[in-house]
Amino acid sequence: MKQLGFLVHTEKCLGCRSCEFSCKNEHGLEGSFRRKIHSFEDEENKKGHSFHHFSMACNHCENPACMAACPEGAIKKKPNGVVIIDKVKCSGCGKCETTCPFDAIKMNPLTAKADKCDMCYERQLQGKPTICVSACPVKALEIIDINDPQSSHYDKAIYGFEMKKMTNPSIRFHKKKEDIQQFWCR
Amino acid sequence: MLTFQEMISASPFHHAEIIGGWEGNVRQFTSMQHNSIRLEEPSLVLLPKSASTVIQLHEYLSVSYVQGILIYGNDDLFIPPAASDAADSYKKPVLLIKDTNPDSIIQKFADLKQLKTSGLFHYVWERSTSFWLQLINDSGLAGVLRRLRLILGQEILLVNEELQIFSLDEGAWTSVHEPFLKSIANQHGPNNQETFSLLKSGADDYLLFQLHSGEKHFGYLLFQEQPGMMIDICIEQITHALPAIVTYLMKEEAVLEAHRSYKQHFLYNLLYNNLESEQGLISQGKQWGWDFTIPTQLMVMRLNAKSDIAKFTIDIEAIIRKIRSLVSSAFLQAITFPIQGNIVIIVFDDRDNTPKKRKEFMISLANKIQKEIEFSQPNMECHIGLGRHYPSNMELFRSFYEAKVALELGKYETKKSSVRHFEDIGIARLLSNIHNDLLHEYYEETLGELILIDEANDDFYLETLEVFYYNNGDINQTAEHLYIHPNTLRKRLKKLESILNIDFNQLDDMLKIFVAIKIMKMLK
Repeated sequence: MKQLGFLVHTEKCLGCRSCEFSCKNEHGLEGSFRRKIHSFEDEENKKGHSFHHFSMACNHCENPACMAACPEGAIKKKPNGVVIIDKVKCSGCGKCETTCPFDAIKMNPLTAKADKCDMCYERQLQGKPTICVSACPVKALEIIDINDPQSSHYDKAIYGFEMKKMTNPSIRFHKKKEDIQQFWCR
Repeated sequence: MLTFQEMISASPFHHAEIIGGWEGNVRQFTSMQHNSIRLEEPSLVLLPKSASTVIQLHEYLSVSYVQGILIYGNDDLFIPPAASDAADSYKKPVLLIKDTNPDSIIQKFADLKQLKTSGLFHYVWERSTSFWLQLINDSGLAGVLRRLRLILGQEILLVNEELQIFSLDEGAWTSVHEPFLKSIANQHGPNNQETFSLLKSGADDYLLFQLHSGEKHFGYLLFQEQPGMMIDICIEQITHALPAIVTYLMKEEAVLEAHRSYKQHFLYNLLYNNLESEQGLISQGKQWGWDFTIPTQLMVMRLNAKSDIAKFTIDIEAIIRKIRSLVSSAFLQAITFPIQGNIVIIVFDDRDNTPKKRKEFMISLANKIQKEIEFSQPNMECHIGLGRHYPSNMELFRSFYEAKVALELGKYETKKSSVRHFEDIGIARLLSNIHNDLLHEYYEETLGELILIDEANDDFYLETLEVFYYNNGDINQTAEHLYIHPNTLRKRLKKLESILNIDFNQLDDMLKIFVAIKIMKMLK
């Protein structure tokens, strides 16, 4: 079975918030964001990068805590691994919001129902990439299949961010290791 | 000269029904005579399907030049068993063909004879493949094997890769413990790409045909070589039937794969809340023989290799079979399948139990499974997590989540147990839903100073605290565990009270430290 997830190239991410705003515009949200940019001090800040950034929304966990917490059974996980909220069934109780260890679920003030990233389910059905991926100017975001053996070398956690592992979040990080450049001059 | 065995491989004779006397299939004939008894050479007599033919059959068979009889016609006529007996007694084949035009039959025979004389009979064999393909489409694998058995005049075995024999009576694969089959498969060798090979078993000779398509191997077709058998013709007949059998097996495998994939899809949907209604769950479950009107209990099993063991492979299928047999020994039905590196067991428990009894029973079943699996897999550690029981099977996804949480959080319990129920994991259940930042903050605030003192002075206050809690606050046991005198421990606990600003006689303080230790273990 597939498990789609976000791959963040932390060396590329500028923290420009294009993903945040494009998502907000695409889904017509007022005053709340589904996606958020996190900034942390670099592990080895001697190299000149004092910060690294990464973008995070719902991690479409392998073991979603929100799904089990929803009393209406409104949260489901699709066969491609994407966790979605059935807006019709959602009663707006907010239990999922408190259960999510990544703060990925917010109550929409307009609809009074839970709202979170659905990995642009509608766009994906039309064969389009998610809006955040297409909006990123430096291609720091990607959608990958976590279960693909080719994705196994990516990091599951990032320095400086406490990652809850219980739910097995489907997010991976890629920190490009810069090769040492050598020059020989005559 | 043609033999009956050759003739029956050619159109339109391959559809011929063998009434009797097939023992004489090696008889040769040079001509085909229509309705005539005055013969000058060995001949096949062509007779119309009528009552008078049946009456005269005995008379015809008694003529020495008559090598066999071909009855033609499409009339509805009962041929009595006496006719078959007469053919058997003379050992002269009597065949029945539905063709109604004797001239076209004679022409076909003449063509066959011509092909044989010109050395072009291989065209007949090549065309026979399409007959076998048509037959397998119309009457399946059993139909083809029956026909092959009939025209070869002996038993023929179809064996699959798992050395199961295809039973003609049941029309399915059946497992037999036959060392002979194993020895034959070993003799042939999996990399042997020859169409057939001659094998010996004791004094008997066998012909083994390999069923394969490219690299994919499906099994073997096997028959015993009998004395007086026209082995070359038999080989041709089987060789040209093989593509039909292989095509059928490939098709069957594709169907099985699709079925497996649908099943996997359904189970995924069940565990991830993707089913729309209970009615849908019940009707879909019925397709695989699962009755979802019965209450269920879910458990998740995780297998870990013991740390000192080098890389080795796990036979998941064997483990699943073992679990199934253990569950059925408790007179229960279960769905057992692997998912995301774990094995999920959904047990149908139709007994009218109270929730408490149901939980106790499931824990005892899980313990039994865990012990048996660890016994049968000595290199593995087996852990089982159980979810709560829900009145509706639509809520199995909650139970699945809980079982996984129980499995995960069981690791942080003070008293290690390989089987954990979600209801028994206590406070860790609440901690699992709190943000790591908050947990980190809490344990840093509570135990941070102690950790710093330990690091600075190379002390072991934290270890003392952990052992004290592990022994439920028993001074003597803790002292024994730490190899110190109880009074030394008392002194150390006093010191701990002053560092942490707590009183070990107060339950609130005890709980505060207990939670901090648990968080520390979880975060580490």
